[in-house]
This record gives sequence, structure tokens and C-alpha cells, in this order.
Amino acid sequence: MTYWVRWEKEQKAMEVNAGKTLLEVMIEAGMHPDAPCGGEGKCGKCRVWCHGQGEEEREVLACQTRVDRDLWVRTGESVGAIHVLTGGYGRKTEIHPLVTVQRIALAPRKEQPGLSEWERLQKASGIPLRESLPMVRKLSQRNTKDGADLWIVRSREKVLELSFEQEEPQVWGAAFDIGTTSLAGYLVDLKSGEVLTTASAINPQFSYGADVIGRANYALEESEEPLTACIREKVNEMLAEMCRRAQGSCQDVYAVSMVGNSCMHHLFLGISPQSMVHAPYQPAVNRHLILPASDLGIEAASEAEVFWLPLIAGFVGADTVGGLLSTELAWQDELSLLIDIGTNGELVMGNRSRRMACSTAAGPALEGAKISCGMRGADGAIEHVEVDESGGVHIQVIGGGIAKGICGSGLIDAIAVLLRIGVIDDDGHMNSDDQIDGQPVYWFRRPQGTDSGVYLSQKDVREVQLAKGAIAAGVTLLAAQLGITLTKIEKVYLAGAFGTYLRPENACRIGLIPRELENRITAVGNSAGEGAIQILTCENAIRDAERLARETEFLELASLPEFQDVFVDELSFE
Amino acid sequence: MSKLQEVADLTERGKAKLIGAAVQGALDEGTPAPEILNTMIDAMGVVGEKFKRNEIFVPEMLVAARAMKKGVEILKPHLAGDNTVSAGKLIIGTVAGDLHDIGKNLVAMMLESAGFEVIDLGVDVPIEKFVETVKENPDVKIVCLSALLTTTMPAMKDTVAALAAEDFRSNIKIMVGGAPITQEFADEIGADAYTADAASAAEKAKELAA
Repeated sequence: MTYWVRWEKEQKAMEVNAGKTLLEVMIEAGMHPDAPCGGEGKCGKCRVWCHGQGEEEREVLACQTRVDRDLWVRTGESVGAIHVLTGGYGRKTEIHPLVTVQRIALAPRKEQPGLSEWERLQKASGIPLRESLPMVRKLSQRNTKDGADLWIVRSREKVLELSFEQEEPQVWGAAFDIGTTSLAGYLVDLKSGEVLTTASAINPQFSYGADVIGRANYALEESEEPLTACIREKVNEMLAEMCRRAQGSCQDVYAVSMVGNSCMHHLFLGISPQSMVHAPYQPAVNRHLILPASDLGIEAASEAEVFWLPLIAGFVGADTVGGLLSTELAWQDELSLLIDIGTNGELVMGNRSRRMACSTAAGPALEGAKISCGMRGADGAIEHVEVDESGGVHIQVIGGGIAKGICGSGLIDAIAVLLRIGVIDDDGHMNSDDQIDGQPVYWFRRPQGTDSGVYLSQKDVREVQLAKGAIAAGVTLLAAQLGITLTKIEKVYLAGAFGTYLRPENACRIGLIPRELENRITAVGNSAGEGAIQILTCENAIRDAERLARETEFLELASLPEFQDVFVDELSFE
Repeated sequence: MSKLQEVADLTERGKAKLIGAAVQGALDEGTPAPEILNTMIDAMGVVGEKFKRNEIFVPEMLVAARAMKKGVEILKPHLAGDNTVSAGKLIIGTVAGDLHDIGKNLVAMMLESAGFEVIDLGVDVPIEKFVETVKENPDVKIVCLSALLTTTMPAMKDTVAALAAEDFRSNIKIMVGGAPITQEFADEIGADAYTADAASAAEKAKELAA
């Protein structure tokens, strides 16, 4: 069975097999859709507007919309325009690319007696270019006695390529966010700073352990080698795919910047995470690293370099530094808070002059894991829950169909609503006549026929209490250590896909974020990835990153005697 | 509701803010301090039972334990000497390389409630510290080891091995626990007992110390 999909803006129509997602259709059609979450329905970047015959147009996620009838689709901005250099929501920076291309004219040898070939190059470029054997060889193989026009691709004084071609070479960079679960890649044109295309994938290390501790354990018991090999291979695959889509080659990529948590950092580089998973949880190296791509097996230009952002501590990694780089937190006098909620919730609090970071063991509950009807933010997930004036509870389901489960944002809404209507009390106790296995439950959709319905159980509420208690305790203790009151915090940056869908008032109602800060929350998307892009588009960014990492204090929550008391305090919904 | 009943109720419900006044009230009514303590201990026992039956979960255990701690603080000055019979002395700690102690603290609390005299060595405890402490306290009956991280399980294994190499091994029992620990692992490393939760740990300890 096939249907017609008509792309209004692109003025294309194509016949498509039923059941394909719009995202798959877009990829196959070479439209380079943006899906950093890998089509999991999490990131919301593949949003399009579509309608069937005679229907109203509605906003949908391309990755969650299957073609089951003829569709008319309107796409958003083009990819390049969405991901501008400046990091979307983040700090505006001017473009001073890390790698530049320069057109130079070598004077005839006779006019420059006493100069070596390399000195002639230096003179022509006006820059004390550093000698490198491959580049000196390349220059020496060309007879330039009568002078020559050439292109040099360089990163400051380091020459990455010499080209005697007429055509100006492409100069690209790639940024990667190496997440524990998913990988996001961005291909950047270093001349314009524009993101040409993006790629995403599931981290292949998944088969060695679902979380960082599991993978570290595999590395310690067996070897880190297979973990290192598979992630590098996947990065090469993503890079090749992006280059192919942008109609170039890996040889056009001169710089690769990378962010990720400390464990992903170590495993990518082939460093044992041994010191990091035992108290006092310190990484093997914390400063930023600039390494030849060829040493890491990354297939790019022969002289390309890999830039790994620095780490703050064993459980606060380069991804957090990326977040600091791309948000305003570390650049302003006003106090702010950066929250990145994942399996470990990383927090940074402070301003330009002083900052402190910590990692909280929030667990995966807020991502829908460990919750009875929990699921990813995909079709069928309850993403929002509301209560009307007469106390009626209404759910909003991704894709508009029948509710199959509940995702992170829906979970937070659900608890906030149940608190409001008194089904859950401030201690987290659920009062409900409905029970499953002796446990109180609240049905969002009762079972009908063969389908099992969607509910929230007492245990689910307890899981959320533990997760939000951990994060809230982190916030409280950071503020206490910095000697500031929460009301002094002017802005809260909420990173990650979760932050984009979260209803701030409900996050505050359940105490995930302090209530005082309700009107100060900004969702900043993948701020870590944006930070990695900034490394490419702004040559000073890597030094800024190093400074931010070194000047951000780290707070080990587990070592604070008051941690348990504060954590238990924060369990309540009061 | 009598003041004593109120103390029991507030312990079970984990009302740390209110329990102080209730304990004081019971004292003012003339209830002997040991009786109030026993009431709280029994209440914690109920909490532990409910936890085992999946009727309540970790957050409720934590708030109940904290309420009990607050209640005991008020009670302490009134407990003249130690007139409760000790079930025995035991050592507890989180193994080297691991800084996690919430679970361990819960177990310690339940053990205290069960009448044990608990020597809590804290977190990231070096192997030698466990060994020394047993030597300094020859009347110790049980050593309890906790680990939360998969990566610190080897440290638990090494600690058990070090304890086993000492002459006192036959005088002590070793109990292990923590999220990644299983009965199988406990058997493999030569521990005497494993329990899945704090309430079972207290029961098991009583059994081992008897």
C-alpha cells in the first residue's frame, strides 16, 4: 500500500510505502531533517505541520508520524537556519572560526634570495606558520620557482592543508555530543559558521551496559578496548554520512570538537575509568585535549585535530562545560542555575565570578524508566495532564491517539495535577479506591477490552519523590555552599529535551525546581552540543572552556554530612 | 489518642517536625523514657514490615527513620544509663571506593531499633579499618558491608577475604547488602548472609546473633 506525501515548501510529491515515518521519508528524500534524538520523539526538532485530505493542519513530530493516508506536509525553517552558530537560545558570539582558509601568492624565488621554501610561505601569509613535516613535504614537491597562488587551511599558526587548486577548498568542522544513550553530530561550515547537517545515533556501547557504571564495570573487568572501538567507529560512520549529505568528503573536515560526560570521554579516548568509579571519583585527566584525529582513528583531513572539552570532575563532565559555554550563566553577574536532567542530574549554580557544580543521583525515573506505565516521549505517550475548573482531569497524548503510557513531562504534570485535586497528599501518599496488587493507583485511561490502560501507582509517585528529592537537595546544598538564597537566582537554564516539554509551573509544584524560580526558567535544548559547535566557530572558545572548567568548583554531595537530611526534607511535596 | 500512641503514629508517618512535642508530651504525662523508646522501635518495626510487603517504599522508610532519630534526640537525656538489653554489638560500613550511605544508614537505624549496639564506620571504609575495629571490639558479633556501585563490589569481596584471613573469623558473621548485591554474589565471596532490605537485615542479624 502506498500513499502520496506532498511537501508544500519544497514543491515535491512522492509516493511512499504505508507505515514509514515522515522522518524516514525526509531522510530518504535527502531533506536533511534535524533529529538529534535519533527519531525517538524526544527532541522535538523534526516538528512539521501536516494534514490529510480535508483535515485541519496540525503540528506533529516527523519521527512519530506514520504515513497512513495521503498527507500534505509543511516543513519548518531549513536546517541551516535553525542551528545558527550562536547556539540557538544561548550566548551570542561572533564567528572567529577555529580553522580558516587563506589565499596567498608566493613571490618568485629569485625575488626572495636567502629564504627557505617555508619562509617564503610564511612571508606570503604574513603569519609565522609552524613547520610540519607533511606540509613541508607537500610544499617541497611543487616547483614554485616562478611564484604560485595557493590556499592554506590553517588553525592559527598550524597549517592543516596546502592546496594549489584553483577552487577554494571546503573547510568544515564537526561537533559531537557523546551521550550515554544517544549521540548527536553536527557538520559545520567553518567559513559561515552554519550547521550544514546533523546526524544522530544510539550509542553502540549500550550492549556493554545501560549506564556509565555498567560500562565502566565492563571496562574494568574485561577491557575498555571494545567500548572505545565501537564508539569511534560509530562517530566515523556519522561523520561520513554527514559529509556525504553535504556533498563533500571527510577530507574537508579539519576540526572535530567533542563533549560528553566524563565516562564517555574516557571510553572514547581509550582511558580506563578506574579512578573515576571509586571514591573520590576523580578522572584520569581533566584538562581539554587537542589531539591529531589520525591518532584516534577519526577519518578526516590528514592533519585534522580533535578537541575534547575539559572535565570538571568525575561525574561532571565536558557536556556540562559545553552547557556553560553556550548559556549565559558564566558570563553574567546575575546568579543563575543550569540544570541538565538525565540519569545523573548535573547542576551548576553561580555567575561570572563564582560557580559551583554537582551531580545528583536522580536516576532514570524522570525519563519514564522505573515507572509502571513509563515510556519515552513517543507516539501514545501522555505528555501533558491538566485539570479543569470542575476538577476534571484531561490528558494530552503525543500523536493524538490512544494513550499507551506516560513520558517524563506527563509524569510531572500528572503528579502536580493529582496533588492539586487531592489524590496525592503532600507526603506523597495516594488516596484512591482503585488498586493493583494492593497498591493504590490512579487511572488516566482505564483498561478497555484487551488494552491495559494507563495509570500512575503509589510506587511511581515514590520513585518521582526520590528523583526530584535528589535534584532539589542538590539545588539547596549548592545554594547553601555558595551562601546565597534561592530568590537571588535570576535565571534557570533547563537543558536537554526534557526541559523543552516540561511545564515550569508543574516542575515547581512538585518541587523539582524551587518554587521561587517558577517564572525564571528557560529551556535551552542541547546546550552541550551547542557548546561543542562553539568550539568550532569561535577560536577562543576552547580556552574559555578550560577556564570555565577550572574555575567551577565541584561539590561532592555524598561527602556532605547534611546531605541525607536535606534529601529527606526534599522528598516531601509540601 | 494517647501521647504514646501519637508517638507511634508520628514515627510511622515520618513526622519529624511534630514528633519532638509528642515525645515531650509523653514524658510530661509520666511515661517512662524506655517505654517511649520501645514504642518508637516497635513503630519502626511496623514500617520495616510494611516495606518488606511492598506496602510502602524507600521515601517512607527514610522519613520514618528520620522522625525516629528526632524523637530519640529528645528522649536521650531521659534515658538514664543503658537499661535496654543489647542484642549484641555490630560493625557497619560502606566499602572502600564507595561514598553512598543512605541505604547503609537505614540498615544501621533498623539494627539499632532491633536492639543492637551499632559501630558505624561511615563510607569509603578501608579494609584495614574493618579488621582493626573487630580487633578492638572482640565482642563484635556481626560485620555488615554495604556497596551501591557495581564497581565497588570487588572492594566488598576483598574486605570479606581480609576478614576471613583473620583468626577472629569464626567469632563473627559477615552480612552484605546494597543495590547491586545478590545472594549469589554473597555466596561467591563467602559472606554469611545477604538481605534485600533494611527490615530483613535487622531480622537476619537477630537470628545470626542469637
